[in-house]
Amino acid sequence: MTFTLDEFNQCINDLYDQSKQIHDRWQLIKTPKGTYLIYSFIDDNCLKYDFHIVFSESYSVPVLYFNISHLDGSLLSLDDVWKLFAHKNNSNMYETITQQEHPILHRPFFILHPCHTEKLLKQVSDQSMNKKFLFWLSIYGQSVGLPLSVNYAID
Amino acid sequence: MNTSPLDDKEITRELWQSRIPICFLLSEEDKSKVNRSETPEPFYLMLSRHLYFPCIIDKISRYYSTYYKENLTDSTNNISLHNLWLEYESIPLKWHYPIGVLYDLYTSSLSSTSSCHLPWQIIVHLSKFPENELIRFPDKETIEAHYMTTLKEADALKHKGQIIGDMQKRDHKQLWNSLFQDKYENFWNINMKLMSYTDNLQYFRYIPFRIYILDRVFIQKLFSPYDIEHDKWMTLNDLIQFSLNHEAQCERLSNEKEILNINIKDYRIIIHGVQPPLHTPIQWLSEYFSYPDNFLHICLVEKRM
Repeated sequence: MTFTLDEFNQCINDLYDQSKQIHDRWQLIKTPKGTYLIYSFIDDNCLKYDFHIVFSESYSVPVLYFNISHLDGSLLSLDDVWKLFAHKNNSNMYETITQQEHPILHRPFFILHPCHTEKLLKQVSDQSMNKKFLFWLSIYGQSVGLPLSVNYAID
Repeated sequence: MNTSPLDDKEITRELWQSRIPICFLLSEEDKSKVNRSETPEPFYLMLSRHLYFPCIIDKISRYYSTYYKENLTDSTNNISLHNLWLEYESIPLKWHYPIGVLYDLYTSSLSSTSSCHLPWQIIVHLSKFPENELIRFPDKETIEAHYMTTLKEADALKHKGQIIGDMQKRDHKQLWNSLFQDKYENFWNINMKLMSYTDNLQYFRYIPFRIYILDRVFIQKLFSPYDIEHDKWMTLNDLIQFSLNHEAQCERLSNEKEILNINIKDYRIIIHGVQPPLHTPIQWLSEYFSYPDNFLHICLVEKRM
């Protein structure tokens, strides 16, 4: 169960439109190398979270990239990130969160590895494209602290 | 393709055995913070082209820790093995690229003379880690995870991930361990499965490749090794021309000032330190000339006028 590039672009555009309607923070960034979504916020512990939803051509699925930084700009290390999310994940951390170059910005970001995304999406293969996308986002986003309003699930 | 399988296998063995002599020198800035009467001597290692620098981080750490015994955890100096990074000609070296790729790309492009660049002189830094440019590699498990990630991506491109997905975990481990321990036979016993065909095709669905040009992010595109419409095999020349054209088009669309030079004749095309003939079928190159991560890492170096 995969997405085509057009389906992905449609989903992120739809999410962006919904976000504007409910006054949420998603931003849509268009570049010739691809379009992606950004969500940024600062939590109660003064940590700044930046989430990017980017399309993976190799896997034909969306991938969640993120960075977490202190307010002075210094990035959290991989160890810090694992500690932060350890309570949310049972599986081997080395396999789920790794650090890679963002495919469009080419800066170091953490990612949730996409190799299991297709299997996950099979669970909702009969749903619409947008519902599949939201399902993916809610599962992956939750495990790394991305707040997703329940309003997105309402048509 | 008319090559003999036995000769081709020999090529993979030769590539496996290629090494680069490297001389590690401590940076001037960190030298001044040493607390022994003598400064660290340069030290030399002979490294496999297809390995990654973090694989020898233990060796480097052990060597320098003897010189900084008391103040390695001193955060005021910021000298710390945790902040270790490598530099060549003012460029921080990306740890997650194979050593051979870094060598081919930077020594061919940057040095002022065209004479021999061996041993490759690399500066070791123990402070001021360039966080926005480099990914940190604290340990061997992380580099193993990175290797597996790259390998999975290659299989996703070649076989929709079917072959690596069906492999046992111990096969994955064997790939990494034999790479790390330099065991050619053990590696290829598993790797040859990744070189097979699926879906009744006589070739890979897409070719895993990355093209590196100095001062640019690498180029990676979806490219099929066989042109069904015209019933012909795609060559190295086809792949590079396609990628350059596509990339230049992206740059035009984003109004870049300096558009990429798409004339192949202006570049030397280097894989594993050699220049394969441009008419080589890309399917063959993918099977026999890929790095152990199953990607073709291709360096394009502009010819000097």
